[in-house]
Amino acid sequence: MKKVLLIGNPNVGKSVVFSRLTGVHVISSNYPGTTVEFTEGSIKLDKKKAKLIDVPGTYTLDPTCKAEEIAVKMIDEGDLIVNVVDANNLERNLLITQQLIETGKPMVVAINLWDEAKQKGIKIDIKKLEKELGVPVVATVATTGEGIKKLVNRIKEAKPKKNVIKSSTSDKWKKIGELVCKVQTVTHRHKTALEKFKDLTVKSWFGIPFALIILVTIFILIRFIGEGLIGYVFEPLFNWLWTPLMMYLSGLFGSGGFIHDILIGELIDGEIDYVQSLGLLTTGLFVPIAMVLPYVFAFYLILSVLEDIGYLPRFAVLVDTFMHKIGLHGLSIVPMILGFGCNVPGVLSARILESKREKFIAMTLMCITIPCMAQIAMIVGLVGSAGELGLIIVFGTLFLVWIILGGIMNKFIKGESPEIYTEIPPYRLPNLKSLLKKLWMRIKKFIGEAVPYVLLGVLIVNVLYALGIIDFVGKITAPVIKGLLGLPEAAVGAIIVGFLRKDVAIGMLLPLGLSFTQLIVASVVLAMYFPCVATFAVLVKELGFKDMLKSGTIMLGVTILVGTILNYGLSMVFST
Amino acid sequence: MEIEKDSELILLTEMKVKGKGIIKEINGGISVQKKLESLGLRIGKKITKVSSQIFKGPVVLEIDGNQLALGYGLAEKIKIQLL
Repeated sequence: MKKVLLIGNPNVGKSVVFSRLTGVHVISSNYPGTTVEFTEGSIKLDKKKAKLIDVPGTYTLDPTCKAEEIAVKMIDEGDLIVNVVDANNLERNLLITQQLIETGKPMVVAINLWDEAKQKGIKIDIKKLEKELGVPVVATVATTGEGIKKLVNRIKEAKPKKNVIKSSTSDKWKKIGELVCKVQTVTHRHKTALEKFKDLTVKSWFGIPFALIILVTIFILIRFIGEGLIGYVFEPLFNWLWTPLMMYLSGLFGSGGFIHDILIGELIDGEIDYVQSLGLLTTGLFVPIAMVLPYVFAFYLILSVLEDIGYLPRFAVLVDTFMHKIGLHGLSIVPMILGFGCNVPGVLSARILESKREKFIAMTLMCITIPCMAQIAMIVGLVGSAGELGLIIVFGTLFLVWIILGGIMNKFIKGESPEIYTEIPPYRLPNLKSLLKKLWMRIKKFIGEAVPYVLLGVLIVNVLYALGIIDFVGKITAPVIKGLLGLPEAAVGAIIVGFLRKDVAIGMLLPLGLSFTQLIVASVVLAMYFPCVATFAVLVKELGFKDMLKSGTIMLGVTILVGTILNYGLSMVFST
Repeated sequence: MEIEKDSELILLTEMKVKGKGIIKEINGGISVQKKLESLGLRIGKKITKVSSQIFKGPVVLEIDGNQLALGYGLAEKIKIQLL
């Protein structure tokens, strides 16, 4: 099968073109580095099926970092190239175009974001450009689909080039300069209000207070949407529709017995308690759908809007100075933010960081101090019911550990933290349709991954209890769990399950009847001690076995230390 | 003559916000130069400074109508002739 590669600078809309060509929707946002993995799909070329690969963005084929190196290696394997170019930034984008032409492979150029350039007063003579470059050139607006049909048709015209003359980079720039002069005319016009606002948001005096307002608004919105959906939609739905059915089923099994306990769980005062019963059909469904999903939905809704507007790179600029204190640069805030949704995409997105050191620090910090939305939802439900103070202590502790541990790693891990360098895309109005599609993809992924794992987690809890394994491990680990962390032995069950699903683990704390202090310690420990199995898998892949071992040691060590301090500190404050 | 010419140049970090200038010199190792070049920062290009941050934060600049953010350490490597 022929391989067609989509190649171009970061944030030119390759993923949107990919979605248009294949009909397979992939996540696209308005910041450089959204795509960190090669995404594959299939298209039809001359009635034959071909493979289309969305290659992560790169500025040059003369790689400046690891991510670019991988992208460049891909090119050798490709049979045909679709080079996506940002019409707003013709000159810079044409470097890679020239380099691609020199590979001699059949190639088409898509001048994307055509509408935006037109609005900006940029005119490009497509016919002239095509003649100069010697390959088919098509103007496209991938978000609306304009020009995509033409692009598909012209892919067929792409022919391999023979006798290509290789030139040096400086010669290429010279050629590009002349070319741009010939094909592009720019009409000067005044800055629009949005553009003036764009400049304001990267100025410290305005940008920092503005960012704080945005952050607070996000917190309030997520809580409001999440709680609202739980209280007014999901809980009533479960109570009115599901409970009667489950009670009927429970009656059929005689309100007890092995199968009853696996499916329905233990009845508490003769009733189903969706958090404590621990049955597959009760807790196993209620936790992911009624407790976690509403928060996941709220988070991704807001994240998607921020991504598509193009706020994230600006936020990265504002926090850059601070991030250097923890050994990272501003752009690493992006993986951290994604980590709040789920650590798996968070870890993957850390690929945009250049050095091994940065990746190690970012990934370790994320796994220790950034709980995913599923976990946050459960902590808010559980600790929040004992008062807001508990939530402030839990998340405040995690934030402090983020800063302090980051500072320590920055001091003791050899190497420097590279400087930020990134494009800042213009603010763009999110396209409602693609925004909703992105949201739906993320929700679907959550449901597809969370529900089976939660069910498995609940099942394993039952088996472990039945076999007496939890009691046994509880006794062995008692010196740490009981002695240092001040938790009951049975909490070890939650820690074991936490490796599978953190949300179920936090739910398991409820029947233990923990005190306020114990609840806080247990929540913090569960958030910090180790990533869940899904995150662990990508972490091993990204860091390698040796660094994973180091990272894991830091995770466990820090958790025991922080848990112990919290236990003794809080016991002193709250015992009187 | 050389010295006099040099004194007219200032670092990108020293430039005032909203100031315009032409890139005259890019210092640093080959990898830094390549990095900056790939973003379109080359000698002879006209730039406008958009913002700087407190505590030696990144510099945001505009080049060919597009904005870039450069860490302070990178921005220090670029010398500008003011327009």
